[in-house]
Amino acid sequence: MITRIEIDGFKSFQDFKLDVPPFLVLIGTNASGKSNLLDALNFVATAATRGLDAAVAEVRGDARGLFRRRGDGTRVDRMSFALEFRRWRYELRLSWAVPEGALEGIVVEAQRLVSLERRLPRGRDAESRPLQGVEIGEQVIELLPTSSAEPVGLSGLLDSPVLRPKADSRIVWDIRRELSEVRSLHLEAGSLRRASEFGGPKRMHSTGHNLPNYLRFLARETASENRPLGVVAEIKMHLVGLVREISDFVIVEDERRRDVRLEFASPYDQSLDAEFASDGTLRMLAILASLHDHGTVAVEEPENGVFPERLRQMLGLARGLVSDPRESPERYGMAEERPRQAIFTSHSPVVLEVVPYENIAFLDMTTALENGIASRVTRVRRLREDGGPVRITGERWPRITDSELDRFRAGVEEAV
Amino acid sequence: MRSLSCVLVREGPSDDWFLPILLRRALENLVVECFPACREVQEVRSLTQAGNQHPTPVLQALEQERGTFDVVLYHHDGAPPAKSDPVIERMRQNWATSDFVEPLVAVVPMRETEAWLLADHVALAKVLNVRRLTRAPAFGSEVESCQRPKAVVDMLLRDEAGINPNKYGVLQNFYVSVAETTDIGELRKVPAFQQWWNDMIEALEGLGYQHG
Ligand SMILES: Nc1ncnc2c1ncn2[C@@H]1O[C@H](COP(=O)(O)OP(=O)(O)OP(=O)(O)O)[C@@H](O)[C@H]1O
Ligand SMILES: [Mg+2]
Repeated sequence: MITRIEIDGFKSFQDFKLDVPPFLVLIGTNASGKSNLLDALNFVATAATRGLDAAVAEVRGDARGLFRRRGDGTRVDRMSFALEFRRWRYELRLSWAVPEGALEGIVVEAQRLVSLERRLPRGRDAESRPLQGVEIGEQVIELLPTSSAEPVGLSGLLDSPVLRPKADSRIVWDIRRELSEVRSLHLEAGSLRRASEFGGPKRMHSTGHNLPNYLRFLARETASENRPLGVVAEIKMHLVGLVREISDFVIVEDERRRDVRLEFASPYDQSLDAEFASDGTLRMLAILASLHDHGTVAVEEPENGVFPERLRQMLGLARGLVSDPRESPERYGMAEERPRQAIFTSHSPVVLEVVPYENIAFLDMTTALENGIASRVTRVRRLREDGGPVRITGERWPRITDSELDRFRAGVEEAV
Repeated sequence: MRSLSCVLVREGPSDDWFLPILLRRALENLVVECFPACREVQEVRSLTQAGNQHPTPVLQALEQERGTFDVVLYHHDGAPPAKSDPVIERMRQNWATSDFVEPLVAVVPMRETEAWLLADHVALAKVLNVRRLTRAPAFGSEVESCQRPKAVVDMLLRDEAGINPNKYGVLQNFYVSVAETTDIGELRKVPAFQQWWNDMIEALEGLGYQHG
């Protein structure tokens, strides 16, 4: 479970900090950095688990283009990230290098894990906690010699073959697993419709490709004697509730064609091949499937192709499916270390009606001035609770007031 | 003072098409030039429900925003002065006696703010995608002598670029584009605009923003 994200120097982010609850909806104007935030998350998660080359391939843009461009067209040469999990903070600092005798590229300057156990309560130190200086007594696991300027391309940054005490290895391994379970969905109708291959990947691609195998994988992972479909049974139930015109679906494993397909059934129609299912049906199924898996899922604009009333239900479902940090994990038989987290981006005003304000973050652009150069950078603000304070200690900007939310709600603009 | 946040009380919805953009861009220049210690200029937020003639709804709207802004920008067209001056003065008075501590800075073009959109001819040609303006209207410091800037805008669109200004969205998007493109240096040659610029500097000094 990711509890906080800090980004500096990546795309539109300068000194960006955001606390992340288990369920978070990012709203905000076009080109305000919502997708950039998901890119940043994906980038770090992929770099840590599969290496920098894979990380660059995973997000929109080329390696150099990921570094923040200033208003005068120059680019920063350094990107820093910090992701906090409940007990540990993963810090990563990258830079652009043109080493002599080697190809230009992104190199790791430093990375480490810092224990959060001895930290002051969130809020009081939220702004002041430096990426660098370590408080006395804080536990730190260095992950790479800080002097290393070797381009790391192939294996994940967390796979560095340094010998370390067993307890430390365990922590690195836990963080690595959390990061390997970060995934994002940017669904495309064509990809959702395609069949999976026998023996193909078990995870769904961010476009929705490989959905049939993914469902098969989820079923296999969670099946029990009495419940052969495991969690897929729940997914089915929710899909029927959301789509209505669908009463069931089956995962057809075709040995002869060596592929795996989905077949839907409606109350009036026995079998409907995925190719003929509606776009919204497939999208909702993919989102539901992802929400029923472990780890952190980021979903781009779940409202696309979804009837507003059903979006309402889906947001409610998502909220219910993520792990509530206040609830004891054993209650629903969920293993503690495998929580679920969901981050959505959205332009739908429905969000304001069904999602509590504490689960919403509003992104827009502000002008940062550095040495006389004006650059547009992403800022994030929280929503003001009804009658609540505007200023909150530790928050850099005042909270969003109703007048600004009105713009989001209806796109207010009176005719002239 | 490391950041600057302004709210705008304006006349009508069409002001929202360009004033917040123009003023934000101008403030970026102003801060860089005069208050380099300030590191951020936030979006200028227009308070659409404030109205702008009567102080009561203005104060009500600002009450909702209390604590979120450093400066109130109060826009009112300057013409005719006999009508406009008392309205602006009444607003100033009410503001001064309210319990708000933030400064209120008036944004008052000589006639209509649209004239400011005509100040930079290079920007106009760029936005209209023409090589040059064939019938150049008044510009620079002369721009506010233009009696009906809206008619000039219509003429520019229709005659220079062959775009029908009455079609939905044409005016709005033209205004937005010009506001994003206009050179603030050109705009400062317009006396009414420069007046606002000076008042703004004074207000920021009063708030403790540091020169150099
Ligand atoms: N390297 C970079 N440096 C500075 N800004 C960048 C960089 N890369 C992208 N951006 C900015 O990020 C913006 C796009 O942000 P993003 O794609 O996150 O928008 P969004 O909030 O998802 O918008 P939408 O709702 O339209 O999808 C672009 O306008 C671009 O200017
Ligand atoms: Mg986006």
